[in-house]
Amino acid sequence: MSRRALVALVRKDLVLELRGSEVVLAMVAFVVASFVLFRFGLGGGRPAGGTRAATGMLWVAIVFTAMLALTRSFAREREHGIWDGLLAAPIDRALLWLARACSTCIFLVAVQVVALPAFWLFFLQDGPAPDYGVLVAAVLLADVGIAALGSLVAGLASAGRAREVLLPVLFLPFAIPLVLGAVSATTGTISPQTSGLHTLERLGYLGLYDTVFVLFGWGLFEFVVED
Amino acid sequence: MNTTSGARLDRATSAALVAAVLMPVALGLIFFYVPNDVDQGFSQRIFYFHVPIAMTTYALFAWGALNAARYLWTGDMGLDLRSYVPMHLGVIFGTLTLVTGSIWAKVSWGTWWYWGSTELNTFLIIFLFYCAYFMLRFSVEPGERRARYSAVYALLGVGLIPISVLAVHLGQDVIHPVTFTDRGANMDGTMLFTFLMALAAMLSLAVAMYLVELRGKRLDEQVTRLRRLAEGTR
Amino acid sequence: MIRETYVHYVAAVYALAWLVTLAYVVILNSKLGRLERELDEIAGLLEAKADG
Repeated sequence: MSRRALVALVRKDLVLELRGSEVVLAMVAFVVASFVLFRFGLGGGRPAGGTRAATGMLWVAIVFTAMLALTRSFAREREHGIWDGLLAAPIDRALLWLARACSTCIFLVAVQVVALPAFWLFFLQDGPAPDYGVLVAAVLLADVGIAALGSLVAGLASAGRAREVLLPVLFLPFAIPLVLGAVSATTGTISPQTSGLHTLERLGYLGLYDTVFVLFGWGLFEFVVED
Repeated sequence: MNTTSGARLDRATSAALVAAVLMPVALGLIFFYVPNDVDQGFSQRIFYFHVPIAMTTYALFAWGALNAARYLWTGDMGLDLRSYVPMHLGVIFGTLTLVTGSIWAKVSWGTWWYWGSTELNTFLIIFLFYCAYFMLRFSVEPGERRARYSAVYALLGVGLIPISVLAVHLGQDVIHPVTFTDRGANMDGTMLFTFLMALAAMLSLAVAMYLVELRGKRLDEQVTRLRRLAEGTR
Repeated sequence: MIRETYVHYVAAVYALAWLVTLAYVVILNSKLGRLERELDEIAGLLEAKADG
């Protein structure tokens, strides 16, 4: 029963997105434009700091792009009054959070399918590059954490007066440790390389981050929705 | 519940008295009793104030988070205040921690912010988190919903603290290339005694401030209630 | 052994802690002042009601 409800909720988000296509396309445009900005910010022709700096920038771009998805996260429900209907339905509140986290995660992955090749094109095609397997693994792990925590925080921010401004303020302190772990994992694979254990530890850290905030989201979301 | 205070020894007064006794004792120990540190010399005396202030900040945040959890459990609005007031004081003590830590970094490492220090960096992340707590609190209308949302966000900090400590340690290769070894870790008996005395003084000061501010907030609520009654009866 | 500049830094730390405590008292005082004014207003309201 609950699995069917979950699938239905996620499908609702995806169908709405496919019809209107307002978030994912905007995110793609945003992330590509920010790569161009970073490229020129680092000095155009030969980027200062090389691949290491660029890989750090990638994580900043990923976090800022995710902000766009999270800002819109509860906007549609609010604008069309869908939320009251959802709350009236006999669904566990935690399931609403899980569905939101899943669809956010899917949006993030969809954007990154375009963003990562673009990043390679702009920054990595000539010169040293991080291990692509590690990079993809770290991105996926980070997506889960961003979606889990972000769906909870977006719920909190939606009550505020300046909710579009409030969300990044509430979310970014949590992004610092995430970016720190992710940058350490990915730049560690650029030569001179650190040990494989180093990378494994960092990926494990990202997994721990996900676990902690999935548990928090699951446990606390019922206090965020209106009764 | 007796709310008139007068000269009676209530909890806030006793905490203030304890602080008033302990603080001069701690200051006396710091400047006249404890010897200069072998490595850092006179400047190490910053430690006896900086670290107790930092620990008091953490204690205040812990108390705030605990009361946030109790609020979500019981729904008692009094616990919302007991969660908000320590957070508020924690941000004041936290600002003081950052400034004194910055001064200590200048003395120890010759720079106003030392990115190699895991303590400074962890504290910075957590401080930003608690500033965000205030942004949330000030942008939601007062009432039951604000209490609930503030409590949820305060509890997220409980997850953030260990996550940040871990991230800052794991990210050392990103923040700073060389491993940082703490020089002020081993203390002898005199130093430990002085440090503990300073910690006790700082904690009792914080408790006194907490109780006074809590009373002020309750007074605020009572005045609002009175005003509503006075206007309503017109 | 005592470096003159370090004394200033140590003094700065202890002075700051002192200043923050003082600032706290000042803020509390302004809060008490506001409460006093509000109570005055409420008393005025009640008196007006008692007269009228």
